[in-house]
Amino acid sequence: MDLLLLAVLEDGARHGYAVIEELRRRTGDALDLPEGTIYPALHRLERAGLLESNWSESTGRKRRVYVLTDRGNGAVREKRHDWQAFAAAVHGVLGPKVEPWANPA
Amino acid sequence: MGEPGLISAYLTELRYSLGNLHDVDGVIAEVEDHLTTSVEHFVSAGMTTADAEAQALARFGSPALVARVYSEEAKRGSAVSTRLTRRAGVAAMVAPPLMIGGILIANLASSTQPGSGIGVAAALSAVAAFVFALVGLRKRHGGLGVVGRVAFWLAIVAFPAAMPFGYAGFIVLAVELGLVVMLYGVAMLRAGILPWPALAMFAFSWPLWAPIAYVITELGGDANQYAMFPIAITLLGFMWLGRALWREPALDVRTNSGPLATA
Repeated sequence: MDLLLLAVLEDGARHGYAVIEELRRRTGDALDLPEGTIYPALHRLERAGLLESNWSESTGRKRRVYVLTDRGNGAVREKRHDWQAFAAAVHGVLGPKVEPWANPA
Repeated sequence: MGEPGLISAYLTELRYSLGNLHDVDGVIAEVEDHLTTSVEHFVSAGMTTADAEAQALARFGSPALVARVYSEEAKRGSAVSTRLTRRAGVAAMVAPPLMIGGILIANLASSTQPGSGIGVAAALSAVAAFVFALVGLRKRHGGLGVVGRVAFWLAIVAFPAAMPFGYAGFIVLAVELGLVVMLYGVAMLRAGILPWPALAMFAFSWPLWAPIAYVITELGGDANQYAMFPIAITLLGFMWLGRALWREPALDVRTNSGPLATA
């Protein structure tokens, strides 16, 4: 989950609602967590120095906006690399089965 | 939004459920903004305000659930592995053999031989490594809360606090260090980040030794001759924790190169 949250913020600053909407859009609604559970994770990532947040005033409402730090950017790159290597390995086992004896003709 | 009856009630209940969480006002303001935005979205999609509020709250999760997740995440603190925690892991692996080696060398060499100085230097380096490892363990767990703070400072003052007691200082020191490992271990077990067998070895072998030693003594045996076993188990658990810390990938690397880039 941490990697997904960080990756969503890679494109730029977003407030929590926008983070969740983008997460939902990119996963094709497959990730259906209670929205309220995302905020504690965002706050933890902020304490870890991977995110920063600032309050802004928008249409008369206070709104907290999150942005990746340099450290957070590094973490996304690192974790993405690890994930891609892991996903490729799993795909090699569970992906389309190639029968070595199959005759294409 | 018009009359946010449901939202207002939800926020009141959430504030109550969050208790004394840090920055409750900020959390409530953020949740209110989220729910308001969500209600606006549903209303613009054609729902009535009442239905939109109900839908927004259903998707957000109950106050009890949200408060529980906040509490769990707060216990985790920053709880990420970094280059510092990986280096602390190396320190935890190195400290016990360095300490034992230093003491052996210092004991084998007479006080006038160079080996004595080397042994003392190794033992002092081991103390520094122990302290650094304890710092890293706390960092990895986001501080370990009040228990972690107490345990860390107890470890720091353990030696000076035991010195005025003369020979009995050994007992005072043993009790202090037993408390340190137990407090650290229990706090880390609750966090559930590092391997529990290593944590159990680290946390309980030393404190459990006290009643066992009492029984051995009561039965007429010499408990001291077995005392190295709980100490060895504690140190092995500590080294195991160090290995676990060291093997975690650091989250604060900026490039995928260098010895700390991947585990």
